[in-house]
Amino acid sequence: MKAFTGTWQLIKLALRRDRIKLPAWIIINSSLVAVSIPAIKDAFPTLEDQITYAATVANSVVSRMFEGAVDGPSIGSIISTELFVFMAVLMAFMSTLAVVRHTRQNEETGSGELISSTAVGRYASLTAALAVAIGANIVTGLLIFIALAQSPDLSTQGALGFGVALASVGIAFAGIAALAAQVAESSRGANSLAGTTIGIAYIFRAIGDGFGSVDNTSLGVESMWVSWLSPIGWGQQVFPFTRENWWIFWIFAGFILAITGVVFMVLKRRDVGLGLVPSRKGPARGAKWLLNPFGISWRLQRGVLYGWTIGFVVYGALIGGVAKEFEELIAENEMMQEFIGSANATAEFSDLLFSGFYIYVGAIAVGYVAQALLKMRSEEVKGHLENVASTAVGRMRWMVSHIVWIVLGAALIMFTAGVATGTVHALVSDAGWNEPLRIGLIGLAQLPPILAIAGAIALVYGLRSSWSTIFAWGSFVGVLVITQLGALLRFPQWVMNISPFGHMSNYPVEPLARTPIVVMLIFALVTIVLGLVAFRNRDIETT
Amino acid sequence: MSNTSIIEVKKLVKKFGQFAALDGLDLSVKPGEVHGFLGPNGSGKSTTIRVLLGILRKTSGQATVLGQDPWNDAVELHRRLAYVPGEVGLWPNLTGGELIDLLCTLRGGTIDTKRRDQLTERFQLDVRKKFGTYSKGNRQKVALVAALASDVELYIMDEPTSGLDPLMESVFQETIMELKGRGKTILLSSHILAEVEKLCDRVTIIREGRTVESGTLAELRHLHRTTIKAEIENSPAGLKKLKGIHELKVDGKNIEFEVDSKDLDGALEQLAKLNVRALMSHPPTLEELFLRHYDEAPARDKKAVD
Repeated sequence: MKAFTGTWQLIKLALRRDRIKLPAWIIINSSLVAVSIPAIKDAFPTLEDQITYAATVANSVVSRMFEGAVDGPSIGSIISTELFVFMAVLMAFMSTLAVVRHTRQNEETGSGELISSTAVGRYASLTAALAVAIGANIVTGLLIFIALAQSPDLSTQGALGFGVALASVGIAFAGIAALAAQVAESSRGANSLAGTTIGIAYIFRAIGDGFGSVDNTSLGVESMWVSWLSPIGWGQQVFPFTRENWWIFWIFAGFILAITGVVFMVLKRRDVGLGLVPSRKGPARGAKWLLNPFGISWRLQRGVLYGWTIGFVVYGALIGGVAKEFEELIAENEMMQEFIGSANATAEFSDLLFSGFYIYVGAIAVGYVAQALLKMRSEEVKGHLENVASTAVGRMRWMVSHIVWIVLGAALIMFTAGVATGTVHALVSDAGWNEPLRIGLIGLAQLPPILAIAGAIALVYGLRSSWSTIFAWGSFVGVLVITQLGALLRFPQWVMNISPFGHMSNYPVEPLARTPIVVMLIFALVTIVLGLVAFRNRDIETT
Repeated sequence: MSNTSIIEVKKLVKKFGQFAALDGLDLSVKPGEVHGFLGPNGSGKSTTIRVLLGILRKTSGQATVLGQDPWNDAVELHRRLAYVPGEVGLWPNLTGGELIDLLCTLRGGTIDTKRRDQLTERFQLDVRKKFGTYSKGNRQKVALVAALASDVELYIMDEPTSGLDPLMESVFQETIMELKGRGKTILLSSHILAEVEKLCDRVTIIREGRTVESGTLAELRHLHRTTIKAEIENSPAGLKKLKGIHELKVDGKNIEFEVDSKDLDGALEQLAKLNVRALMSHPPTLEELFLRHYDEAPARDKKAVD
């Protein structure tokens, strides 16, 4: 057991370092569930309301993809559908960020080397990281259980199942992150790898639910097998208030044991500080395109952009595929036809669908601008900026060289997502080959609010580098929560108004409204310019 | 040698919140000289250099580099200087060769490929390896080669040789002498005293954000005490009363004391009366000079020589 010596000290060290971060995650995650319970009860007070809800979700591919499969009319079922997937993603991120922080990031900064030289075992660091992540998940799961158990509408057993299922998803991703931390050589690489896995798990679950079959009550959904490839899918399939599929916890147990076993085996074989893939030699000369500020920023930004582009193309293609099913469903359903017809006589079903989808896609794209803009902060903290700023590159030029790529990048991912949707839609329906361009433009129409948020982040970064991380990710989570849960939780209008997405017209169902676009673009431009000026006038953060 | 300074810093103050990292610092670097910039850890050397580079903004005082304002004219100024940081932070996934080309180009010049290849050869740097896989010394070489390959007027180096092996250290010294021969100006912050003694025309010693000494090494020595050891027959009592004698130690016939340079005459006169059998004297070593400042209480004797 010598390999585990020092684990307890390292756990204490990790808790000390995370004294703000982890409690914040735990409180936010558990209180999101706590505040949603009364909101859901308010929204669906009678059985009739609950039946309408179940019928709507079961028959809407969009709802199934974004929220999840539904299982009958009850408060418990609605809570599962509305909250589980969203919460599972948050729990997964809480875990992966914590595990990478206490493993690969330590090795990268060199503190891992110093720690390894003291009387701690080879496995201590990883074990401590996993213990902290598992602990955080258990505490969050417990708080969520307590919050749910207070409600008279929900069984204690179901409440416990819900909490345990969420914690299980979180712990499963802690294991995945531990593996990512062994494979990748940088903490950034490990985080993107783990984040990508969360994305894939989400998409598998979305495909499984979206293409699942409605059961004979037409109030429930049987997900397709693809759901079972995703840890988020497993957690969701527990349905703690209805089907009570407790046996799924055995899958979790097996998965977590297996992945930790693999991780420890890898750890035993590899050198501290290195990854599994050895570093190769590179060019002896700088390529011509690289040798200017825009070249470096492209080199630094392209990885993030490639990742998001691939993700958005897959996501966009998925939307295109689902649209066809949705149209068929509506064609069969007279009630829905009437509903949509009365809302807006001229709108085509698919337009309504796409405009709804692309608000979500736009909100998710805020994650891209946040991540890409924060690259500037990491360049500063790592001392790379100091080297560039001491050459003949002006500071404003340096910042502009990043922002230009990010603005183009945001346009690119929104447009390609749309083109992917349009291409698939054109392939599976008789929409015609105008479709890729048409939906590409629907994607681009979401650009002004994305840029408005990007401008605000740039301004905060210009004012003070250390504020930008929390502001950027806070904006992303804020926009996601408002878009995903705002209507359900009945946020007051002023809260809804914070998100710029709510101010856009519902293109293409409605024509593009010029005012909000102009206002947002001016806002973006002004905040970026102010950010540049502020950045020019502050100290560069040095180590 | 013209009189206009390459670097002129007067009463420079830089505060971080309440804490004054620089508290009225003076520094003057003349054209064509290698100027040693010394001080204990945390005394403000790197902060000064970062103000001179326009990375940090001064709180008050005056700072001019090559006749320009380092904050407002940063870009113009940076075309004319090259900087080697003490801790080289560069992108781990770029190779040494890419980074050298990059930094040279960003300084605004074209790459002198011949000089670059010569330098990488002399410093024995494998330019095809990625920066992240270099050792500390090799990382330092990347920044050094990139700076030395740039044809500029001023080189600012913040502990440039930390991590270099003795062989590379001597290559470094050669290249600095070459630059000096070509009339370049160099500001060199270093803890390696032999290096400073060998390379520097003048030095400035700072402490807690203030300049405590500045001048040529000869001038600095002149300000300080000479150590004298002697073997004598007579009693050394007469020495004790003499002006400028310090730290007198008597061990039988052996005595040792320090004497202020200006009082050397009197001390030798007195010594001659004591029946000297053996005599040894040496001027203050650079090390003694520095150690006095490094562990002394905060700058109370603020002397400056111009």
